Amino acid sequence: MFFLQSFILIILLPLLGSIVAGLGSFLIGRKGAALVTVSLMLISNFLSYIAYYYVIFKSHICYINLFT
Amino acid sequence: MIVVVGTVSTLVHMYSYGYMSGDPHLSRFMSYLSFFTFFMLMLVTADNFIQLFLGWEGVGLCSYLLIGFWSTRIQANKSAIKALILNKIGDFGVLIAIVLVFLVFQSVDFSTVFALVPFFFNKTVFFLFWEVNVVTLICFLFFIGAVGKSAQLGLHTWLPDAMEGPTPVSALIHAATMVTAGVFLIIRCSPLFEYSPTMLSVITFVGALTAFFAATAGTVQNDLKKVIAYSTCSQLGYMVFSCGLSGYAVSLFHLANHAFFKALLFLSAGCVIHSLSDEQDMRRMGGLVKLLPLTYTLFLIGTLALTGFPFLTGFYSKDVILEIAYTHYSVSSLFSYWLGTLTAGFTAFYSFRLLYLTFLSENNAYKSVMKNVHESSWIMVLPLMVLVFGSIFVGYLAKDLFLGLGSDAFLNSIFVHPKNLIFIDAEFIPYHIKLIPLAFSFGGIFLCFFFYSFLLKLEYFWFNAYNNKNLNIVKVHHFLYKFYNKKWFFDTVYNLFIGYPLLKFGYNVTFKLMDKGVIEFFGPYGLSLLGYESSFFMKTNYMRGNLKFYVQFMVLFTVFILFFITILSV
Repeated sequence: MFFLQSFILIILLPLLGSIVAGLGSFLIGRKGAALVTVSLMLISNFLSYIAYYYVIFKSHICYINLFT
Repeated sequence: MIVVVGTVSTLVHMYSYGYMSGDPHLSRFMSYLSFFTFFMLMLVTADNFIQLFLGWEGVGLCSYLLIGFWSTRIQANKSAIKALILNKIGDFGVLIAIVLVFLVFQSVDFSTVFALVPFFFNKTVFFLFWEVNVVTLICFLFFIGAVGKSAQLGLHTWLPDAMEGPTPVSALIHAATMVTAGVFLIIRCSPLFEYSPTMLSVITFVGALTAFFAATAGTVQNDLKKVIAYSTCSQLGYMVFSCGLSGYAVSLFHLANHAFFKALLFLSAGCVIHSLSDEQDMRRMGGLVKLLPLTYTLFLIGTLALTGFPFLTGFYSKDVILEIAYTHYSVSSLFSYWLGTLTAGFTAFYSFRLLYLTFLSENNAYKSVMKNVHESSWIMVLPLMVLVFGSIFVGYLAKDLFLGLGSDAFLNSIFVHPKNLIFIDAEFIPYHIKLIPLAFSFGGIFLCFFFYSFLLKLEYFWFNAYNNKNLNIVKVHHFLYKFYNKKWFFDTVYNLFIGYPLLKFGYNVTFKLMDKGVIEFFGPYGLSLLGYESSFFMKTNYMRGNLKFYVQFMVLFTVFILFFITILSV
């Protein structure tokens, strides 16, 4: 059930990665930016598998309300 | 859908770390990619039309940024702006549709709107002085958006040109995720589309025509990536016409499968391009099977999955689409069935032509290029391995989940009107009918090898032997080649009848007549000229040091001023 709360991270982690890589690349460098985006995408992807399990196999009805 | 987007996106992130590692703007590239992923996830998780539209616009923007990533190349910039403009036409349709939805249903929430559709399907509304069914109109406008985003016939010209961007971008945006946003929109709005039989048949026709057009145009393209782009276009046609036949689940299934094998194809094509020092023309490749055995293996699996080789991923979804097209028994479905089956043959033809010219035929590349050919680094190959597993097994594993009768995977998010429910009938069509697409695929493969290893040489031999340019087979071949290679002259027609007149209008009317003419004349330039000219006129005619004139003017203007003061004070 803890994971159900964290589904919003699926959407927001790529945004975070984008901001860090785009605006903070002078701090972390080329390779660092790539590393940050790739690792955040991996976490987001992992969470999306969990969401898949809950929604498709367990038939949860799940809405992600994003600032609306 | 989140899983598809997330998986492909992650793999492409990893791949582009290897692919773009020499680029000084790697961080900007990764930032754009992540930004794109954010918008795409936002689009697919939206629970109302506004959020969907935000994601929709966002992916268009990111597509523009990523196509024009190498912004010093004029061709990349041109393609980027072309993609943006053609997408914008579609976006306009979506925007009007959302406004109409709000006007009719007083809500933009998916659940509210879809619950209310059955009460509104006979309502009419005046649009452009026409009285039209409101559900049909909304569906039509959404479909325009889907046509723009999913590169259906009419607004498809941006997709092949979008291949100017880096290869990971082509794989992520123009094969796996963004171009499927249009199909996703149709699937998501299935309760709307189900109540509009007119639009369903329109979708079927457009989708089938797109599939056929793109497959034929893809057969004779010479750019490695453009062939795969046309193949994407053609597969999107499949998805769209299966939506038109109410097979939303199978359309989504094909979308997921297509994301896997098309990303695999694009990324392994990227490996080939990378190892050949950015050479994209297939005519300057060949014989790479001995130098790049691993890439060849990956490419072969992707190609087989695309052509619908039995028990690979593409087989499970494509054949089901054609089966339901056969079972529907209407004019549009018969049309789409035969075009789809022909397309399966063409698909096999161009896929294996790609494979043959790149890997199997005699080598045509430069020696300096061939000396540096190398397999890609592990960070580029690792995502490909995952995609290979996806391309082989996903179709088999997810078949019952997506298509199984009574599968509750989608709950109520996909609605099929009971009148249009044909999945059961599709199971009971004769066995030999089910084999027809397969036969066409194998025919295409055979024809490709026959054509490229035998017939072209024979034709060349005839051409030399008779020394006669009027040989009929050469003429026919030349005509077909020119027609298909120029993409049925779509770009030419657009440029001649839309682009060029608009450009002329922009130069002659809005620029020369309006900006430089009317506004400039009555605006800044004219005003300053007026002051200058009038003072010059006064100086030459009156201000000649004649005291009598000065006194006259002084008196005249004093009287005028006194007159105005009296008028104003009254």
